[in-house]
Formats: sequence, structure tokens, C-alpha cells
Amino acid sequence: MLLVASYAFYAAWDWRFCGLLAVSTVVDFFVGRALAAEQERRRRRWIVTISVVVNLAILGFFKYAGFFSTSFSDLMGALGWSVPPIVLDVVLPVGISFYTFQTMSYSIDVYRRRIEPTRRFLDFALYVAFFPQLVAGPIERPMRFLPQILQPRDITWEKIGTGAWLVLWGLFKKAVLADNLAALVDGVYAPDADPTSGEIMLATWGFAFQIYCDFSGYTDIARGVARIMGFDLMVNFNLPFWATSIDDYWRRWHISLSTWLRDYLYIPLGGNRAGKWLTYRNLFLTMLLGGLWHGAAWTYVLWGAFHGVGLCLHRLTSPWFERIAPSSRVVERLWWALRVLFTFNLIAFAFVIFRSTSMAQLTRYLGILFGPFEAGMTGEWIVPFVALTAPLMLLETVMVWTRDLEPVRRWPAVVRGAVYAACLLGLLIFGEDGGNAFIYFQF
Amino acid sequence: VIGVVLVLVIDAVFFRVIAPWEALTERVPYRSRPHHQVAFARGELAALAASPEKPSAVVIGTSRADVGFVPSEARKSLPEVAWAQMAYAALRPFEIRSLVGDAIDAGADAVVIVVSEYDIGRPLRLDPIPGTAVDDVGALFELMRLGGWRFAWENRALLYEIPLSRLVGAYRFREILRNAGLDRFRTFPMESDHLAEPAPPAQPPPALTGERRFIDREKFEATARLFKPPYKGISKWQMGMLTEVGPGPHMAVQEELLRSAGRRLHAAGVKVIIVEAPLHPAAADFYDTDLRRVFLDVVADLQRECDATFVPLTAEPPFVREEFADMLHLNRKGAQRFTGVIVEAVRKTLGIGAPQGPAAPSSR
Repeated sequence: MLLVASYAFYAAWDWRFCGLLAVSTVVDFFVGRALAAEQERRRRRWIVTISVVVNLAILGFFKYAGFFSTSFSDLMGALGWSVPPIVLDVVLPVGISFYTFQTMSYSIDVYRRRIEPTRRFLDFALYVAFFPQLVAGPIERPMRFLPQILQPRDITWEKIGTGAWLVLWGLFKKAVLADNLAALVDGVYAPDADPTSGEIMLATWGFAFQIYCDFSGYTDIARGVARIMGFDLMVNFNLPFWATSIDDYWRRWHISLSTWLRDYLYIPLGGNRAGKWLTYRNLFLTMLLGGLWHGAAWTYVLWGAFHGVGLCLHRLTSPWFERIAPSSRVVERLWWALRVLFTFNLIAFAFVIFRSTSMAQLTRYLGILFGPFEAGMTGEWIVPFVALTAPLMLLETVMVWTRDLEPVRRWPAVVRGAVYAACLLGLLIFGEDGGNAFIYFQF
Repeated sequence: VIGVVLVLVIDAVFFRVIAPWEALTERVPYRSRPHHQVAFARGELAALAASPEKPSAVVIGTSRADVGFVPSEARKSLPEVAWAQMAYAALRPFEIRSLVGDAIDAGADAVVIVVSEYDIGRPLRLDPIPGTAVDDVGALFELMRLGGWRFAWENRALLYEIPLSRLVGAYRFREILRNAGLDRFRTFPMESDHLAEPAPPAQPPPALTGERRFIDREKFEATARLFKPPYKGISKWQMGMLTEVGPGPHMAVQEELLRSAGRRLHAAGVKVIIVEAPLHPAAADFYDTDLRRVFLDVVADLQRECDATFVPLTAEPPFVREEFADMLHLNRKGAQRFTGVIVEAVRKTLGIGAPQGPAAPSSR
């Protein structure tokens, strides 16, 4: 029934792409079966290559063909040859980057003999198409998620209650916080806008909160819905804006993707075992491809490269920073706060690259940002900015303080009820209905 | 559960009572959304219900009824009747069907529906208007039955908003709450020449429609020249709306919703009066005038099924250009005459003595 629901859910967007989902599922199921039957190393490698090639071909055709074709044409043009780009008028299937990575991880894990391939096709199909996380993750690993499908589930009132809270909080983050912040960000980052440095700064901070609330809001809803049905999806965000370094940030932001890239790209490239310079190369390449995963545009590639360089620099300088030993608890706290603030602003700066609609806008905005400061309309935006980010920061402060990602469930019933009522009323009064689609749907 | 209970308690205490809304809506700057005017209308209907000794009439219709009917003139001309008005821009057949329950609950003796082929020929649009709680969820089911499953699926987001807007007062009145000052906590002003201002909320896109008529540019400009600013710009916009009026799958739904509203009123013992709404003479160039025949068929059904009284425009001296403010709406002079038409229709239908005052042309 869940499989039918999942395909119905996907078909609600566009039924034609259910076939694509099915192709990815069938290929990886039979690759898994073939790997189970084959012991010879070389043949096993060929078999797993089928999964990687098919999945990357699907992803490449639908997501990157136009980008590479246009980029090649531009390059040839720069060299003096006129090569018209091949224009492919294809729609990007929603969630394609997520489910192709999920199915690939199954075949690779079977190839690495980390898991036993399943014999139950329908259960495997549900692992690929499970509707709460199908279109925007988290990218679940077979080792973690397949057993949950194969074994009977335990549905309790506690799971239903906490799952419902996750759904409500996720919806609040999306419809109240992210969608209202979108007006600020869209206004400043419109292709024909000419903002001041202060306006770009505030809108970029706004975008950091918008994309976080948007994406983590979706994840919360997905986790909540799954929990109500007795599944436990992985934590995808662990207070990323409280990270104390860029390295720490990538352990907290989009965890399912960063760990996927670590396990299936960074480590196979050699990880940190092949010497200092190769480690830097591996880090940089992993982040570059991570950037490209987000979208077929040079701004995403550059964003990935920025994070790659940031991670290399962090690795280079961390021995020096580790030597700093605060003399008292107050200094320690201040040092921690300074690192959090610095990391947040570094991440926010990278979002200028991510959010720019073109390379031309990016260079123009960087020029304005590094020019003389002009406040523009920032004074008038402070009140809504603070009002919209305050609920998130308030709850996250409690999460940091209690070291608990779901502190609400431990509060007395009346306090919980008041929080739920506040969220419901916030949604009803401030929620943007018919608002924007989730940002990560486009990836 | 505690959260939902708290929301319902807050809703019942703060949002279900009419009086605070009346006070609030008066303070809030007007925006052309139905929420405001429904809140006003509810106040008028409450006053109507409070004086059951008088025969009463409620005038329902779009902005043409809002501008064209002047309650103060009607009260002066026919003081024996208690008058109320439930009219605003977005009041289309679906909303009329949804809100007639309010008039019935207020104890109205007659309901005047100001309507014409323009209203039933316009695309079907759905706006989450503040209806009367669960009472008119029936209208929603009727709409889904008439539109079919495909229509219901394609408009699922709007269709869930409509019952939500009715069930939860906080949502129903959220535009008023937002405009009352809460909006400053969520909106970023963009009144700057160097930033892109987000598009203002327009009327919702058509849920069901026919094909638009093509009007040549010269005709368009020539008609716009008939009006002076600010009506010149408004009239251009209205010409666009007029080109939407035409045959299509939406018409059968609009017609049936209007019939259903009439049947509902008739079943409750309320007299139904259909008054044809006038359009500027130049409007005829921009929409399909053949639709009047369809409109007259619907009226004939209402006369037969609901014993409705019909006041066609042919029964009156034609409304001339000098009586219009723009393409759709009457000016003060026109509104005075049109109010007289409505007053006369109500007087006759309720069997009340001859009207007084200057507003009734038939008395001269």
C-alpha cells in the first residue's frame, strides 16, 4: 500500500516520470541480485558499473545535458569556433538527484558486501520510492532503511505525537519563516535589481535562513510523516548555523548528502590516506561535485569550489587553532561564540554565490559588497527580519542548551500545547498559502 | 490535541464575535479583498436580525451592486423595509451560493441578486472568502460535483482553503489582522526604485474558463479615451476582464450555482428578486453579447422554480454613458436611479405601499 501511495504521490507531480523511477528501481534490484550470484571480483565490478552508469546517465541527461552543451558551445565560441548548443527541452524530474543517489548506494553497498541484497522486489521498490523522502531526501542508506521496511513496524502514540510535532514545526518553518523571507531575498536577487551593500548583506543572511528553514522544514515534515508510520528517517540537519568551523558545518548541514559524498566519493578517491596534498585534492573535488549536484550552473560549481577551498584551509589551519586554549570558562564561551559567528558569516558569504542568478550578477554583487557600505532599506527590514528569525533562533538556543534536537517533547503538556497552538496560529495568520515550492525540489 | 483545543478556544473567544471585527475593520485601510466587506456585511445582517418587526431585504452582488446600490437612499425611499447590503468585488455565483445562508439566518424577507450575463460568463475563480462555517460546506460539495473530479483535483489547494477559511476564524480574518498591523512583522517593504517589488496579490487565476476574445488595440484605446483619469486606467483593466466573458465549461457551473442559490432561498421562504445589472454601452464591444440569451434562460428557470421576480434592463430607460464611472460601475447619478429600480422591485414583491422621496423614478 505504501508503494502504491508513493507512486501516486510522485504521479501527482507528473505521472510520466514514474517510469524513470521504476527503471532506476529495476536496474538496481537486479544489479543487487546479480552481485549476490557472482563471486568473481572483476565481473562484480562490471555489474556494479551498470548501476552507476545507468543512474548517472539518467541524472546526466535530465539534469546536466543542457548545461554541458551550452558550456561547450560557450567555450568553443570563446576559442573562435561557432558551435551551436544542442537544445534539449526536457523537464527536470523532481527528486531525481535524491533517488538516483539512494539506489546507487544500494548497489555499491552490495558490491562492497556491506549489506545482503534483498530478494523482495516490492520492498526494495518502496526503499527507492518511499514518498516522504522521495523528492527531497534525506538520502537514506540501505543498511539503515531497508531493514525497517523488511521488518514489522512498531507504531506508538509517542511516535505519532512526536511525528506530528515534527510535521507542524517543519510546516511552520517552511510556510511562515522561509516563504516570508523569500520576498526579501527575491526582491534583492531579482535579475534587474540594483541593491546597496547593506541590502545584499541582509538579504543574504535572509537567504541563509530561508534555505535552511525551507530544506530542514521539508526534512522535518518527511521525518514526522515517516515516524507516524513507524519509520525512523535519519537526521539531516543538526543545528548547522551553530557550527564552529566549516568542517563542523558539513557535519551538520544536509548530513545525508555530505556523508554520501564522503562514503562514495571522498573515500574511494583516497580520502585522507594518501598524503596531505592528495587529501586536499580529494576534499576539493568532493565539494566541487557536491556543488554541481545542487544544480547545472556555474554558480553552484563555484559555490562547491568555495567550500572545497574552505575545507582545505580549515584542515591546514586547524592544528594552529587547536593550540588556542581559553584561560577561563567565560573566554571559552566567547571563543565559541566568535567561531560560531565567523562560520555563519562565511557560510552566508558562500550563499551569495549560491543564490546569484548568473555569474554576471555574482560579480556585480561582490563588487557592491566589497565597496563602500550603504544601508539602503535595511533599517526598514530589521523588524520583519528579527521577527521571522526569532522563533527559530529561540527554539534552537534551547536545543543547543539542552543538547536535544527535540526538546519540546519533554516539556509539560500545557507548555507543549501552547507551543503547538502558537505554531498553528502562526501558520493560519502569517503562513504564505500557495507559496513557493520547496527550493530543493529543483535539485 | 491540546494545541488544537487551544487554537479553537482562542478562535471562539476572539474571532467568532462580530463586534470586535466591526470595530477593527473600520480602522483597517481598505483593500479590495472580500474579507473586509463580509465583515461589514455581517454587521449589517446582525442589525437586520435584531429588528424582526420590519420586513427586510438584502442586496447581494458584485462591486456593481456595491457601487450601484446606495443603502442610505433605499432607507430614505422605503423606510418600511430594513435594508442590508452584501456586495463586493469577488462576489460571484459561487460566493452568492455560499453566502445566501447568511441572509436566511438574518431573517431576510427578500433577497435581491444583482447579476447579468457578465457574471455567469466570467471564468470561475475561487477565493477563500469568509463564509458561514460548516453551514455552506454544501456549496463546496456542489461545486465539486458540478466541476467534476478533474476540476476538484486541479484546484485542490484552493478547495481546501475554502473550508479552512470558514472553519477557523483566525484564518478567515487573517487579512484584516495582517492589515491591522501584524503585517509589519512579516513583510519587507520594497518601495525603492532599485529593487524588484513583488507583484501585488491579484485576483486568483481562473479555475474554469472559456477562451478569451481578441480585441484589436485601436478599439481598446478608443474606448479608454471615453474615460478621464483615474477611470481611464481602471477601464483599460476592466476591458481585459470583459474579454474573459464567453462560453465555456465554466458557464454551466456558474448557471447552476446561481440556480442553486435561488432554490436555497426559495426553500427557506425568502422572496428572490433578480435585478439585471447594467454595463457601460461601450462594454458590448468587448464581450459576447449573445450570452444574454443564456442568462435569460437561467432567469426563466429561477422564475419557474423559485417564483423569482425578474427586473430586466429593458423594463427601464437605458442607462447612458453619463451614468457610468467606468466600464462596469455606475456613478453617483446612475447609482441613484439604479437604487430606485431595486427599491421599486422590493416594494412590489413585499407588497408595501408606494415609495417616497426622490430616489424612485416610478413615483414621478
